[in-house]
Amino acid sequence: MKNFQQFKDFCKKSHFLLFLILAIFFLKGLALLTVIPIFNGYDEARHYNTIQYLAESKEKNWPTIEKGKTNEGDLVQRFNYSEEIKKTAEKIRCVGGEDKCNLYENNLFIQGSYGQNEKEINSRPWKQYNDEYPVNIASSGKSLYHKLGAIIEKLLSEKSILTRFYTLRIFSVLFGTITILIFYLILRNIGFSKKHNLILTAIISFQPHFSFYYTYINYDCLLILFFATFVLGAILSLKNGINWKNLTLMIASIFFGIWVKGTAYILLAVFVFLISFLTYKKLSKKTNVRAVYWLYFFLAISFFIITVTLERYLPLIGNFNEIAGSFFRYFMKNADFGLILLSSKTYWGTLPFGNWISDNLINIIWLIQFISIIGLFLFIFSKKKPEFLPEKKYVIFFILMILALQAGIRLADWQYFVQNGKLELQTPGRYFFPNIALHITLVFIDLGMISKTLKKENYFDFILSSGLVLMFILFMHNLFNLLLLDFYL
Amino acid sequence: MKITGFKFSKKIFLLLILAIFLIFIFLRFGKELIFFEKSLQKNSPIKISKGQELSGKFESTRANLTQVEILLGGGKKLTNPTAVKVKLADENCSKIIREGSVDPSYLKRKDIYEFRFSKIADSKGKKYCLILGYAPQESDAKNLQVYTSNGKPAMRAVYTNNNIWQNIDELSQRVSQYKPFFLKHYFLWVIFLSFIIFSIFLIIVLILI
Repeated sequence: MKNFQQFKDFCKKSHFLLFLILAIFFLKGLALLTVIPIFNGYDEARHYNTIQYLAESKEKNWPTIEKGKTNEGDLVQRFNYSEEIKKTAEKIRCVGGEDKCNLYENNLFIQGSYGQNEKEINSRPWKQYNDEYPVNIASSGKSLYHKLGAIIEKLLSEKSILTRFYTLRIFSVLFGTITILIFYLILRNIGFSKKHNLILTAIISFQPHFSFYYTYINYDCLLILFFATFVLGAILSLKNGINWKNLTLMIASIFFGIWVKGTAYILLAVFVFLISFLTYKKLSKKTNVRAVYWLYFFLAISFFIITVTLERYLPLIGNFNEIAGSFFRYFMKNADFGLILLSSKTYWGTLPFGNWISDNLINIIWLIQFISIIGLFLFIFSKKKPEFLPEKKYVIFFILMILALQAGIRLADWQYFVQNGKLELQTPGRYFFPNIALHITLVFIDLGMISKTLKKENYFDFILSSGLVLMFILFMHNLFNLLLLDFYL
Repeated sequence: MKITGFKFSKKIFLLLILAIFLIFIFLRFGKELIFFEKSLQKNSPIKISKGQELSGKFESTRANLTQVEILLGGGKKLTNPTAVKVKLADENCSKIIREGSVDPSYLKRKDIYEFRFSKIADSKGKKYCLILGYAPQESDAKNLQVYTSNGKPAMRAVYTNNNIWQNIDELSQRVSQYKPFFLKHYFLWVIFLSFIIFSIFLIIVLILI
């Protein structure tokens, strides 16, 4: 009896529960990366080829073949990838659209745990380097993610492609596990109770598409981590004021984030705003100049720095009328409900199988989010916040981050439209994952605010626990009723 | 950590919801644990109209035949799959063993329709004849388009095993294929089981504390 009580007490310890959340995220990642066949992640063959390209000997002392540029949406085998990638795809019968296995026509299984061509693949009979040019690589091979991947690829160069490929996927899951830990630290520092903090972290960690995404070989895995460390630095600055630790964390996140992917330039813009705001807060108290003038001054400086720094990434070509015209054309192209729905659907990871849950899930989520917006207004305009919710400054910062990422993605999409005359990048939900923790946290803060407004009793526990149960069920449905069946049955 | 929160009944309610949904998810998963053994080749479709029948023969390579998948529709979704009548007969196409109509595949895979029936335990090595008929209602298309493969309706046999554990074992074998050793078979079992058990444990603890 005493031992059981000790066990119960141990289970309630927040460090144990945090460890459990992280361990589960890692195990979940291992399960998912095993279920999802090789090269089936977004652009995964391209990212893996980039890593192989960087791991090659710098002296290319082998004959090369000029094959010309390949078309997007082509077969894996027709891209300028290494022979090993193309042959492996062929042997596993991944001969569908770009990076995808064409399942019902090709995926054949035999009895036992070893595939028909596995022995041949493991014997490494093919060239592990690129000899077809121009080589199809991502980000010109300059991303930090690919450089780190190349170290692992080199270390395991004598092993089979299956070992090398899946080890790289495991590293993506490790990055994801660290990201979840950072999310926990963010939530802890904005003032949630230990229990609420743990439940929210668990909810985020079970988001289905986010979970799938962290099992792929893709530089976004590292990008999202640097977004998280930046937010942590920013939250600490808002909490304790600027100090060298917070500043270092934010600057390092921006530096490494940009090294991973250009999306992190958005952090630079947020950083400028944040520093301006914190300086304004400090100076406005110390001088006789009216606070509002300081605010205008720092806002003007922020816009100036951001515009100068990011000028080459902005689609501002021609005079005002031309820019306005271009924006109008871009806006009209995007004013399509289907496109808006696509972002949301791909954010939540329901696979397009047309069953009831896939068809209606987005409607349910949109309803919850719509209700939560009411809570957001209540929260922002309330004089006194409930004691179990974070302070307004953090909520406003979260909104700023979400708006900044939205603006950055739309600007990149608009720029592509200006340069190519068509919408091609689109805005799939995965582009918005860097803010997933902030988004989910905001929704629950808003629902908590509504519950507090409507009832005196504290329903926040119940709302969070319900969210956890529903997110877990959604994940399990995605894994057991969709993914496993789709790939293997 | 202090034990706070809402009333006991709300916690039980959430645990019940969790249990019910998990049961549904695993029941559905168990129901869909059936295995095809060959690829589906799709050649140009042929049409059959009301009252016509089209038959094709196949050999069952395993015991426990439980479904036949057929490629139908000519690229368009069937508005009324129940209009497609299917009979499974012996190899002479004379003795009817099972009959019914088709359903869209559970995952709504394009062109694939399923004819599911109670399993035939002694199907291994036997030949069967599948007879397709079309009984459209007024609002349905006049003809049914059936994809072909080598001149026969494009179809494949799907099997189950003697029990759920054998089905799960076969699935784990398929998932293990083309994976490094540390993600195969027993490792895979450990990963999946520990994920499921720890997750449910975590959620229960987080609800109850």
